[in-house]
Amino acid sequence: MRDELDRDLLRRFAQASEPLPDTQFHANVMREISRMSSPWRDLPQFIASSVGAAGSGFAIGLRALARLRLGVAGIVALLLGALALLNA
Amino acid sequence: MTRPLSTAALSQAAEAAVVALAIGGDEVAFSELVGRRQTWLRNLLRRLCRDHTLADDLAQQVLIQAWRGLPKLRSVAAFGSWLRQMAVNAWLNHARSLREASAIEIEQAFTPTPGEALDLDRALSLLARDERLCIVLAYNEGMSHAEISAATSLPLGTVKSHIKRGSERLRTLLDAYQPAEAHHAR
Repeated sequence: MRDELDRDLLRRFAQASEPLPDTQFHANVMREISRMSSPWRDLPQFIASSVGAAGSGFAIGLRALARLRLGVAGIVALLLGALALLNA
Repeated sequence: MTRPLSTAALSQAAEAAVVALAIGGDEVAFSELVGRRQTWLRNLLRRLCRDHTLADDLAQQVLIQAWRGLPKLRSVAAFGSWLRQMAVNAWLNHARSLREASAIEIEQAFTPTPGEALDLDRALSLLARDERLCIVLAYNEGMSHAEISAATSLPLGTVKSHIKRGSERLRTLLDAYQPAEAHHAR
């Protein structure tokens, strides 16, 4: 059974649902959505996170090399080896 | 991506088809949905909020949230109820964040004098938050008590009593304050 509701209030609610002018509202919503969907939207964040990741990787590598206590000659040898692998 | 429907065809298409296109990332289809649903959504939030500008801000937030969340929508047929649930959640979150003043305080703030017109939105604004929510979902949205209970996380008994007492109070408020013309006509 349907829940009972006050008929007069039902009528008042039905009358109160007026059409609202939508031009500005619609334009605002779609402008926000277009901004969110832009392919360049994430570019600054992408560049910043890429630079951050590269920098942190480099720092981790240097710290690891320092822990190995290889001396300057050993580090140079390792770097040359890495370069040779990259060029292969 | 190619759009299978033109803008003109979109305006004639069934909502389920437009929703399906929007789920696929079609902004024009979503724009069509915004056009179709904006009056309903804004009216719903205007009934719940005391402030039309706030209602429109919340409606905008809900539509943007809907665009982001569309890929997670399980059924195209559920779009309307999904949107309504987001509107209810947005309003509840907003109301909770403000720790709304009690209905009594608000009533004292702008109780109209008898003879002054009291429209539905203003009368609704005199109800307590949860009472107003249940009344709006029942009368404006045609939801059953059980559906309201599920949508608001309020116990079924609480929903029933909110609707019963809220209806009585709303009737009293609306009957006590007749539009000026009707008052003079007596």
